[in-house]
Amino acid sequence: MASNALAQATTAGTIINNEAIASFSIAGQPNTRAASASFTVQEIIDVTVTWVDSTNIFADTPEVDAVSQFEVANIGNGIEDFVLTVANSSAADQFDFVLPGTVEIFIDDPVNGTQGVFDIEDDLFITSTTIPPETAITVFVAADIPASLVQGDEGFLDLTSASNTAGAAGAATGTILTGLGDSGTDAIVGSTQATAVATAIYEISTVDVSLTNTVLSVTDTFGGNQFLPGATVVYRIELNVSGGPADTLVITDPIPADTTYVPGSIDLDGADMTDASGDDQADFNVTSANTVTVDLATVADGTTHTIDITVTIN
Amino acid sequence: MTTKHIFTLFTLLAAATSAFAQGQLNFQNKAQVEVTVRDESTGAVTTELRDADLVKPGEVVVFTSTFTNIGEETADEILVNNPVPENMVYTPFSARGESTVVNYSVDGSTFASPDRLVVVDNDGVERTARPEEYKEIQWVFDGELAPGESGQVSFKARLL
Repeated sequence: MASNALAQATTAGTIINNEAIASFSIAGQPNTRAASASFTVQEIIDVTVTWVDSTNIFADTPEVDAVSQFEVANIGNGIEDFVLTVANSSAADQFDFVLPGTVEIFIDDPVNGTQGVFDIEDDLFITSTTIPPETAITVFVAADIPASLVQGDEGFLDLTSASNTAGAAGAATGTILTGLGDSGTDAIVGSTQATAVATAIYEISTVDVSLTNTVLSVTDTFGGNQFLPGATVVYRIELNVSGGPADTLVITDPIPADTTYVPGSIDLDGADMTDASGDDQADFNVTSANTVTVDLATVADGTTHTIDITVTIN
Repeated sequence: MTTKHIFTLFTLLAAATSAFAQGQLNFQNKAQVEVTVRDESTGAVTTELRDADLVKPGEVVVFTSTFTNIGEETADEILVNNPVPENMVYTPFSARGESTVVNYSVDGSTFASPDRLVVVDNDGVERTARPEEYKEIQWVFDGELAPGESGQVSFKARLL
C-alpha cells in the first residue's frame, strides 16, 4: 500500500493520563498526595480525495486502460476502511464511461512495485481498502475510452472514497457513532462527512505530431561533403500535424555535442529567423541554453513545417 | 506459608498508607471538556464543562486539581505540580489558581515565571519559552490552609 504519513493527530483509543501531585507541610512534616485523571481519545472519521494529474488526460478513441491518478488520504485518527467507487460526473461533458465494467480501480503497491507508478504490482480494488490514520495512498483508475469520439471531447470521471463504518459516510459533521470507533471508542463524523470525491478529466486527442530530422547537406573545408572538423552541416527538421490542431506546439533542438551553432542560421519554412527571442517564432540560447527553440503556437491539422539549422563540426 | 506472610505485610502497608491519606489533605484531580451549549429559546451561547471520558483530537481539556484540608491542623508550604500530558499542548494563559503564584517548566525539573523561562533553539540561541513548550505547571500556594478550607488550580490543554 502506498502510504505517506501526514501530520500526526493522537491515535484513536489512546489513553491520556494526567497525574497531579500536591506537596504540603503540616506541623513541619512534609507530605505529598497524587491524584489522577484520564480519558480516551475518540476516533474522528475524515477522508480526502485529490486528483493528482494536474492536466487533462489525453486519450485515443477507443483506448483501453487510460490511467488517471488520485490520492486518497485518511485524515482521521483511526484505522479506517474505505470503499472506493467510480461514477460518471454530473458535470457537463461530452462522453460517459461505460459503467460498471470498463473502469477499474487499483491501489498502488510501493513495496513490490514503484511508488506512484501504475505497474503490474498494483492491487485491483475489490470491496474496501484499509488506510492507517493520517496516511495517504495512491489510487489509479484505469478507464476504457469509448470509440467514435471526436477531438476535444471531454469525459469527467468521479472517484469517491467513503468510510465503511456503518452510518458514517454522508452523515452530518459531529454525528456520534457509539462504539464504532477504534478500540471501542465512539466514532465521530468529521468535517468531510466521512466521504470525499475528486474528478478526473479525460480529453480525446486524435492529434498526431510527427517529427523527422535529416542532414540536408555537408560541406567540408576542402570543398567536398565529408563529416570533417570544420565542415558545415545543415540539419532539417520536418514536422507534420494530423488528426486535428496542435496547441502550444514548441520544438526544441539542442545543438549536438562536438558541433557549434552557426549564428543566425535558423530558417523556418524558408524564412530567416533571428537568434533573439520575441521578434519571431525562433530563438537560440535564450529559452534554453545552446538550444534552438521554435514556438509554433497553434498548428492546424494537416500542416507541415520545415526548420533548417546550420552547425559546424568542432 | 511464605505467600501468606507477604500478603499480610502488604495488607498492613496498604492500611498504613490509607490512614495517612485520610490524614490531613484531600487531593482530587479531574479532566473536563469545554462544550458550547446554545439555548434554543434565547439563542444565548454558553460554555459548559462535562467530564472528559472520550475526547476527540482538537478538543480542549480543562484539568482541575482541588485540595482540601480535612484535618485538624493548618497546612502550609503547599505546592501543586501538574504535567501537560503527552499528545497535549498547553493553552496559553490558561493556568488559574486563587492565591497562587504560577510557574512553568519546559523540562519537568526547573520552574520559573514565563518571562524567565528560557530554551535554547536549534541554532543555539537562547530565547523565552513559548507556552506550547511548557511541559509542567507548578502552583505555589500563598499562605496557609486552615482546617476545612480548600483551594483549586486548573489549566487547559488541547489534544493533538
